[in-house]
Amino acid sequence: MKYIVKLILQTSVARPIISMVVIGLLAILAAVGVLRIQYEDGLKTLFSSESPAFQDYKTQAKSFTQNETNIAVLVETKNGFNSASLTELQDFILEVQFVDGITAIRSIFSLRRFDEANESFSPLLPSDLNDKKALGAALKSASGAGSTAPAMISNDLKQTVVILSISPKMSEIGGTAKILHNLRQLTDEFAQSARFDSGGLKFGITGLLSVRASIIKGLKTDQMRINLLGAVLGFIVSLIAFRSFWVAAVNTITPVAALLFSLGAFGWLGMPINVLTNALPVLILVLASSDSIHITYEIRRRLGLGEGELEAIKNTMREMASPSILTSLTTILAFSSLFYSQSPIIRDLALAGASGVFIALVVVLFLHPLVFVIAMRVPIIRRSLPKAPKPGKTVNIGGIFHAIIRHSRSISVIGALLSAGALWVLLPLQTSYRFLENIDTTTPAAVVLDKVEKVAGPISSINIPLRLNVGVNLSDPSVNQDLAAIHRALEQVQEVRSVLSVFNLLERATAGTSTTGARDLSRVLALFPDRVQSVLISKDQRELQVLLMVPDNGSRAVARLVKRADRALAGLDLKALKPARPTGFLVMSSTLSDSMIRQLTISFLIAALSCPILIGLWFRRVDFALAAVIPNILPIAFVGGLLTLTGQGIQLTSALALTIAFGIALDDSIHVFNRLDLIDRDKTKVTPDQDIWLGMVHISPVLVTTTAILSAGIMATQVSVMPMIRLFGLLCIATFALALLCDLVLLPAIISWLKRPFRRV
Amino acid sequence: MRRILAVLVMLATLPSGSFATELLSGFVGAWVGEGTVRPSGFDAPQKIRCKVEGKRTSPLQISFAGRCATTSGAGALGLLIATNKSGKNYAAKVLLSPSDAEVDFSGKNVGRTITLTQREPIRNRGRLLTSVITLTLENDGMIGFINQVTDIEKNQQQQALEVIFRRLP
Repeated sequence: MKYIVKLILQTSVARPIISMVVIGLLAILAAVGVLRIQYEDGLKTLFSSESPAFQDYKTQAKSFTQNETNIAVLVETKNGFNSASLTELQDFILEVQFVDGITAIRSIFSLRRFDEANESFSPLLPSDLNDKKALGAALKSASGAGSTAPAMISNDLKQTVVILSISPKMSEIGGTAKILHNLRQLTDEFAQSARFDSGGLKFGITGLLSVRASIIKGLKTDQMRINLLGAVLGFIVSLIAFRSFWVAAVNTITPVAALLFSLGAFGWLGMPINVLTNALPVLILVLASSDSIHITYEIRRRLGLGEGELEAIKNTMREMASPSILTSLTTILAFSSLFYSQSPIIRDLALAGASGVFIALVVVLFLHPLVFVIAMRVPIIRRSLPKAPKPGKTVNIGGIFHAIIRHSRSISVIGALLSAGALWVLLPLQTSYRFLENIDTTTPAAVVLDKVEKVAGPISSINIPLRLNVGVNLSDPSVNQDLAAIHRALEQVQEVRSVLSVFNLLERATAGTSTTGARDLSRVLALFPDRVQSVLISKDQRELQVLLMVPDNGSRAVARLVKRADRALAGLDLKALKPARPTGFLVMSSTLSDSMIRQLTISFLIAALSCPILIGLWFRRVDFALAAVIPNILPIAFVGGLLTLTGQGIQLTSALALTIAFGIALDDSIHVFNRLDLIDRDKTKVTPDQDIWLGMVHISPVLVTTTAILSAGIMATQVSVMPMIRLFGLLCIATFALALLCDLVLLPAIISWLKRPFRRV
Repeated sequence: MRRILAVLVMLATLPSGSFATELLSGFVGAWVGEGTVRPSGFDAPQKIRCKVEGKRTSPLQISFAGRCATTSGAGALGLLIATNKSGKNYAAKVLLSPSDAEVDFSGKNVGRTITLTQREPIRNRGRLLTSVITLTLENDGMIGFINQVTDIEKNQQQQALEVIFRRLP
């Protein structure tokens, strides 16, 4: 510690010009790094792991074409689809296939009926769209009345869905963005050129890729808005707290530089901004603000007491370097605990968070004293810096702390009981995950998705692979019999909106015919397009797949449905097919999100146990270690318990927010411990309770200010376009506020109650 | 629309034939085509749209490559047409609906129409099929592309593809 302080004093304080040049050069390097930052949603790699659920999903993805790479286009017309609007739609369907990257299409025009005479499939819609009678009958059939297969047109014939499959090579986010851009241009052209008699065509684009593209767009917008607003809000709160424009301005330089250096490092180290790391920059900004405020307060106080300018800076750094390092260490520890996760993206967050906080610490320790050394050469700033203590205010605060110390036992017991109660509500964890939680329901992609699901049913599915028993092939009649039995069983499962497999595709295509040819799966399936086959039949033709089309109502609902489907299949006497474990993106993400959130909770517990131990070791005080537990567990348990009570459950973001907020909330406790430790070293003290009283009177205004700045900075997340980032911000603010309350009330009470029986060990 | 596929024509011999040269140059440019197709040769007709680009690859050879789409799917279309020294004979290797296989074609031109006949029949989806492709460079600058398919065993004939190409500005 002494070496670090010496290094700071020898560089930033003793050689300000050289230090400024070095920092300026590093800032240019960091600015270049910022331009190199990559944006990705990270949702593709969120669940990558060795877990059975992910391995099942990977195996299934190798055998069957995935529906997740589809783009859904909703086409609406005011007057209902007629020959004129269908002709325009047909024109669009032909034209859209020239968009680079689109490999297959499914629409009302690709629906087929079995032609008995030719023993082949022919389009459901008539070649002549002006044949009103034939068209009317075909549209009725296409709306899916009486079928469990997904419909392609709404019952009122005003909306239809076009499904576009895209090349796997272009399903990465860069390729998708290009396809979506070209697609939007095309739909705009068709919407503008629609003929009057068709009622006009209106287009909407959605699908999981579209949602991912919306997220990427949101991430880019967020970075600029959140960080800028965070810095402005931090400045405003500093202005209010310090009541000086110049002090607030000086106090803002270091956090902004910390943000720049951290983002620069992200850019140079190839750490992308994704749905999890999106809130990290603003967190770094506010953490650096918090440390800067403690240093600014102390420098001003010392100047107010008459210390010389350089002396005040040096003495402040000697006192404040230690708590600044410790607070950063506890936050780094909280981030590091996320390394426990199996998810690469959460481990990336751990690395980015830990390194970001470390960079911010280095910037605060070296730049903030330098800023003061330089600022003091400017007369107007020098004049505004000293701040004498105001006794009137401290007397009022002192009264409150006298009362707290007097009732320390009762307050400690109440705190312990509240913690136990909150933990009782929180545990066992009620986890919750939904892919669409990352976008607002008002986002165009979400609005269109809702409409598409109303027309064609859910686009997400629970996939049940069915393996053919040894010696059985697709032309075996028992395959079709088993499929029929499986369909009947699954259609009875509550909440399943439709069941899709080759069985009901054939049923629908051959409805109203007397043919038995359609019962020979291998022969008739050859007539379906490759794309349809590859979704429902494995490449080696040894597996079929049944898709339970279900809405994504969250991981708990999916887990419930999987159990019901398993039960429904367990009672069947199957001869040719053997159902495998349900899988698919929905099942995989629901299963793994649950285990990931639980892992994150373990990470939190690791952090919760490690940090008090670290505090105890740092200050060499057992009473500090014990006192740190309840005031820091209670805010997290309380917020988590509240989420559980309101039915929201613990989402991935909540688990992350609570873990990180714990690390940050602990900072206030550390500053209390540091102040008490400094007072304890002063031999003029009288009793331990007086020590606590003095420490709390001294530190409480700083804690209130830092919490206000932290909360104000994090408040910037409320302008995020992503609901999960907004939730992250709210949870952090709630935790900070509760942590402040605990640090001001519970912490002094517990320390007082313990009466320091352990003293120094 | 995997049934309309790339056409590869390779004639090693190069040389003259001024009318053939002029005829082939008529295919050079960007084209958009509209018409009908019977995907398996004998089923119901569907609307088709193609976008291709004709390029001269040697003095007596042009490529005609692009993509065609129907309401049920799309596929690549490539055409490489070459003539021999005399400028009267043409040969081609074709992948074209409904055969789904690489097929050799050969033929002649009569005026501004090139007729390419499939050299060997091919079995496709239970049918033994042969095709005749007719390419006509119309006086108004448009190209007519017709594929006539014959089921040799059932002795059935059907026009599997008819597309009129217009030059894009």
